[in-house]
Amino acid sequence: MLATTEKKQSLEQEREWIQAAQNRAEDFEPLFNRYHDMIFHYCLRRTWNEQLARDLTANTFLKALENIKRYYWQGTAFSSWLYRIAINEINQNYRKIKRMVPLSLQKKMDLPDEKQPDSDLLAEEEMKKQRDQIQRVHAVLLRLNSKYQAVLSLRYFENKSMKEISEILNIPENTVKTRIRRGLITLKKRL
Amino acid sequence: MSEFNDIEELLRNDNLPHRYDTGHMRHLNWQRVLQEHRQRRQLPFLFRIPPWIWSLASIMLIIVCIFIFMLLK
Repeated sequence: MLATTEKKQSLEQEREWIQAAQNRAEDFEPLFNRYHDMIFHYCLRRTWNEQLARDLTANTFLKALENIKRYYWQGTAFSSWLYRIAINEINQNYRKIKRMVPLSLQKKMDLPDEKQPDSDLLAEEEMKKQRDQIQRVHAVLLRLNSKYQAVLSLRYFENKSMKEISEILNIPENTVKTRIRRGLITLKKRL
Repeated sequence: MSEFNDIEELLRNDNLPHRYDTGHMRHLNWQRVLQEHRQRRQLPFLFRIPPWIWSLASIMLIIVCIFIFMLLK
């Protein structure tokens, strides 16, 4: 009950922020602060390149700021709208990202630490194995078709529900399920 | 999707780097967004016209040219 009230208040506040931003660009800042990290982390997961993720994040918000007058409340959450812009930005830079992936992946992966003082040799080996597996999954994931990458990253990295993904990508829920399944099948085949 | 449990687990287990100073980056990015937005607003009118309007205008111009050509023929 309390959570519902808080969520309602938060949505109400967000609506006020949107209205303010529609009148004055400087008033976009609270919305920017609320969603910056979310979009940056999403871009980072899709690119594994910090500089590129920063640029994509900045472009996403720039496009959002330029088009905020056209955004109107229609049941679509503001965060979903931002995700959609970010995905479009990523798709536009898809070739560039694909080219940059192999190098950046090795440098930027944040995996369990190699040196664990308390762990025994077996645990260390297990960890190394897990790290290699994660790295391999990522390398394959970043080479998948962009439409599969988009659904898989929203589902497993951002923990979005099927309904939310369908709202973000503006596609039916069944298509989301099919894309997730096909994406996972391709991942499994290539691993 | 039980057949994909292992891959799903791997995807979920993957952690993002936490070393990013998002606070500072957020501030820098906000300045950048605001500055670029102001610069774009200052562009001459012709540069601010979206590409689809240019495409539409070109198509219209071609149609008008064809129409004039037909009239003159």
